Amino acid sequence: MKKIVGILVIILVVVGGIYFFKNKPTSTKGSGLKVGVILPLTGDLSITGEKLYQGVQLAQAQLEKEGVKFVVEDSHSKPTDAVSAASKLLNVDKVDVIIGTYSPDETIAVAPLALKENKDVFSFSFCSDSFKPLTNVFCGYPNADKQLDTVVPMIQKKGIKTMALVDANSDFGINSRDAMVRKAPSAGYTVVYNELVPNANGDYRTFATKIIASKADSVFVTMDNPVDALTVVKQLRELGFKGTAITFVDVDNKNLEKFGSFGEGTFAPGIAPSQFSSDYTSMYKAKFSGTPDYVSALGYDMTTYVVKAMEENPGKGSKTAVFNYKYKNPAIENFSFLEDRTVVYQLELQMAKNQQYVKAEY
Amino acid sequence: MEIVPQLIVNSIIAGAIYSMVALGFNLIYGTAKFFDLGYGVLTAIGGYAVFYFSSTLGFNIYISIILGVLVAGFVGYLIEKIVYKKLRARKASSMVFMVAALGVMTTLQAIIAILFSSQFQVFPATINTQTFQIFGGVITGVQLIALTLSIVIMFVLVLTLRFTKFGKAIKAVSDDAEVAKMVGINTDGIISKVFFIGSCIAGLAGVLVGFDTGIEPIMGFSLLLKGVIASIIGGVGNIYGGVLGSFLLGFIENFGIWKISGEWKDAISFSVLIVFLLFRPNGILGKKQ
Repeated sequence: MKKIVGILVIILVVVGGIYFFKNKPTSTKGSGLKVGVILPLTGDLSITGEKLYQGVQLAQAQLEKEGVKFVVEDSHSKPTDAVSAASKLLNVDKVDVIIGTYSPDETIAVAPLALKENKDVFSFSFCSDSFKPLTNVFCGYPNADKQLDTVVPMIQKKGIKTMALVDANSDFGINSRDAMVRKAPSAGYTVVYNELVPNANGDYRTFATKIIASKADSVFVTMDNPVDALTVVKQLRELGFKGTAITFVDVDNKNLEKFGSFGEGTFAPGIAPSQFSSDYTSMYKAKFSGTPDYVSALGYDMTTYVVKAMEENPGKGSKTAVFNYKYKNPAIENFSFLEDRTVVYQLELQMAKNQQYVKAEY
Repeated sequence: MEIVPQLIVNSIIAGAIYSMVALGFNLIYGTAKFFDLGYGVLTAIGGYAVFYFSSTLGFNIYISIILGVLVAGFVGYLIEKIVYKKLRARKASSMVFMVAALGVMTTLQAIIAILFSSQFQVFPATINTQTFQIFGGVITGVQLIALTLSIVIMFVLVLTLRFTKFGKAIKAVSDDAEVAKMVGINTDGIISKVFFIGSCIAGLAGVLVGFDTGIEPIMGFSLLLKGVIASIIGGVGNIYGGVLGSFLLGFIENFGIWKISGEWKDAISFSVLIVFLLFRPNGILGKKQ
C-alpha cells in the first residue's frame, strides 16, 4: 500500500511540475500585447477575408518578433459567429485590442461586446451610418456618400437620366442604396428600379430581367462579395443590357479576369490606391507572389499601425494611442487615422478595361 | 426584350438545373430509401474536378468535363461503399443515415475549401458563350445545353428502368430489397451502381452550373435543397415527378418574384414545400403510402 501511495505521489509531483513549468509565464521581450483578429476566412466574404489576412500575416510575422501575440479567429462571414469569436478573444484570450471584422453587420454585432470590456474595434468595414453611436469602432473605408461622390461627374457627363439600383440586403448594401438615392437630384438621374437582393444567390436572371424591363440607362450594383456584383453584371449583359454598369466593390483584377469580356466598361467608384511602398511590395511578393492590392495592404497597415501605436503609448488605451502616433513606413501612402475614426483615403473612379481596373475615362 | 417570355425562359433554365439534381436524388432515394443530404456536395465535386483538370492541369475542356463527371460518380460510389453500406449492414435508422449524410457533406465541403480555397471560381470560357432568342427570351448556349441534357437524362433513365435488366433490378430493389435479395439480386451491387449513376448526374449538374455562373465549395447545399423541394412537389422517388416538380418550382420562384421583392424567392419555395407536405405529402405524381 505504501509503495502504491509513494508511486502516486511521485506521479503527482512529476505531472504537477510539468503543468507548472508549462504554464509559467515566459518572459517576452517588448510590449507583450495580445491582439485579437477576426476575419471572414470562410463563407461568402472569404474572398476579401483571405486578402485581408495576407496583409495581417505580413504584419504578424514582424510584430511577433517584438513579443506581440496574435489570436486569429474566423467569423465564417456571419455576424453571429463574429460575436462568438469576439467573446472568446475578450473573455478567454483577454486580448488588448480587436483588429477586424470586415462586413458592417459583423462589426455592429461585435462592437457592444468590446465596449463592455472597454476595448476598441479596428474594423475593415466601410464607415456605415450605423457606426455613429458605436464610439469604440474604427473603420477601414470612408462612408458610402464619400466614396460614391466619385461616380457623380461620370453620371452627369454621360447624361444618365434613369438608374436601377440593385443592392445586397445588408448594412453595406442598404447604406450604398440610400447614398445613391440621396445623390439622384444633384446628379440628375431618377431611380426607376430599386431592389434589395440576397447575397450569394448565383441566379440573378429574374432581377436582370426586371432591370431591363425598367429601361434604366444605368445600373448600380452593390454586393458584399465583389464576385456577386460582377455576376449580376454578367447576367445583365447576357440578357442584352447595353447601359452603363457601376459596381460598388473592392476592385480586384483577379475577380475581374474571371468574368472575361462581361466586365468590360464596368465602373467602380471608391478606394483607389494601386501603388504601395517598395518595402511592402517586395515583402508581399516574397511571401505570396503576384502583386499586392489595396485590401491586403489595408490589412497590413491597420495591424502594424494599431500595434505600433499601442506599443509607443503604453497604458493610454488604443484610441488615444492611434491618434498620438506617427506611422513611419506605411504600405499605403499617408496611412493614418482621421478624427471621424476612419483612415486616410484616396478616392477615384475606376473602370474595367482589358480585364484590368484603370482610372476611368468617360 | 419582353418581360414575360424572359421570365418563362428563366424559369425553364432554373427548372432544368433543379431537375438534374432531383433526378439523381430521386434515383438514390428510390433505391436506397433515405434522404441523401450529402448528395448536394457531389455537384461541387464535379465542378471542382473540371476546374482542376482544365485550369490547373490544362486538359482539354471536353475531356475535363467527362473526367469531372466520372470523379463525382466515383466519389459517390466510394461514399456508399465506405459509409452507407456499413450503416445498412447494421440496420441503422433513417435518422442515422441522414446525420451521416450531413457529416459527409460537411466534411467534403471543408476538404474542397482546403484544397481550392473558399473563393468563387469560374471555368475558362471555352464552351458555347453564344446567346439565342427563343420566343422573345434570351438563353445562353450553356443554358441550352443544360436544358437539353436534363431532358435527355430523364429519357435515358426512364428507358433504362423500363427496358433493361439492370433497370428492372433497380425497380425490384426499390420495391422490396429483402425480396429482391431472396430472388438472387445483388442488392448492394445495384445500390452501389445507382449511387455512381446518381452522383454522375449531380456532378454534371455542378459542371453546368459552373459554366453558367461559377463554382464555390458550398454551392451544393442550395442546389440540394431545391432538388429536394422539387422531388417532394413532384413525388419523392418518382423520375417524372422530380422533373415536373423542378420545372414547377422554377416557374413558381421566378414568377413569384416578378412583382414583389426578390428577397422572397426562398420564402416562396419553402412555403410551397410546406403546403405540399401538409396537403399532398406524396407529391403530384407520388404513390399513396
